[in-house]
Amino acid sequence: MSSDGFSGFPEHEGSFTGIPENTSNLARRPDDDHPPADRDISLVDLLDRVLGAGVVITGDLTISIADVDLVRVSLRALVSSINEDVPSPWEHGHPVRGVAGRERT
Amino acid sequence: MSQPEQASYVYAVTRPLPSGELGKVRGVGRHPVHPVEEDGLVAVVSTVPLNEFDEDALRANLEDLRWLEETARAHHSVVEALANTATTVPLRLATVYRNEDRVREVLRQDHAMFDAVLRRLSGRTEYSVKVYADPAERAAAVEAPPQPDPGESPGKAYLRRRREQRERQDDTWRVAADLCESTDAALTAWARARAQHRPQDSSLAGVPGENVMNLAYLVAAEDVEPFLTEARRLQDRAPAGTRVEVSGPWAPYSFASAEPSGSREPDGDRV
Repeated sequence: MSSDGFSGFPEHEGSFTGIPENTSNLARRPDDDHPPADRDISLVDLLDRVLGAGVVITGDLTISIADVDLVRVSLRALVSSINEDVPSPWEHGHPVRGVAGRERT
Repeated sequence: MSQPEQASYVYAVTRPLPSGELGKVRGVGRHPVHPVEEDGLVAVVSTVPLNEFDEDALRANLEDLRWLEETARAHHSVVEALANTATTVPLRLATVYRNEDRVREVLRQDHAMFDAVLRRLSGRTEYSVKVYADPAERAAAVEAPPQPDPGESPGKAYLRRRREQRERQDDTWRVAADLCESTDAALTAWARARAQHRPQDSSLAGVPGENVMNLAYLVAAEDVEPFLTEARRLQDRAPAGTRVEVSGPWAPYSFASAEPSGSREPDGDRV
């Protein structure tokens, strides 16, 4: 694997010198006394990321966290009228090493 | 009474941090957060009671919406705090090891993978872009003709308007599909990688309309501005009954995996 690795994407020609350097969006060093307020992030958006993305490495204690199904169950409780096939935003595949198949409980 | 058994909850992996960087950050269950360093990598860890994160507890806790939300927000705020100061590989929620020796072992074992991902993510952040379609809103946007045909009976006029509304409603999906395509093409041009998330269930998301596209883009620092300018242009031009939502910068959750995964687009994120 090469370190840049994004063969699917055109590398930009890099002639942005005319654009004023403004990376304030990325300079996100927070005020130490005020941790980032994230209350305005919806739970669904958050679960998309903390459960649906992020590196999956096999923990010692969460071998069966193919238990994402349980999370789906818990969210389904939110919406009583939902049908069986409620899309589970966090369930798209990621490399799951050593994780057992999903269980129904 | 003996001390309850403990475990190590890992939020993310970074390069070694300046000392004191994590001093005030609180993690899941308000537990303090500390670095565990090995071989040029740092796992950011909280020591947590084992009985909250062992398999049985986790099963129950993940079904407890309050626990889930608190834990997810705590996990995210640690990851965010890290991403604000250093290149960060976020781990999935509830990655737990028996002790710190095991965490060190994992850092040794997966050193090459973490190292490669950290290099790839350096100076890049993630933006989320979602496209929504709302047939009802699109139908409602049908305007009444400025000059009603004098020869047309009120009944006929009503039926004609209904028909036009239905046609608009029916063409929502085509219009939305075009918007998805043009949005993705325009934004991919400014992205170093893209990843596809499953569209969110509208009843869970609690927002109007149907989420028809849910993508994440990895954007280099120097491209953030043109990326966002393009995104705003797309937002402004979205046809009636459709909309484009952009959020970020996020820590690069969607690009933390070392290997390409099946659900990503064949042309996306080839690593």
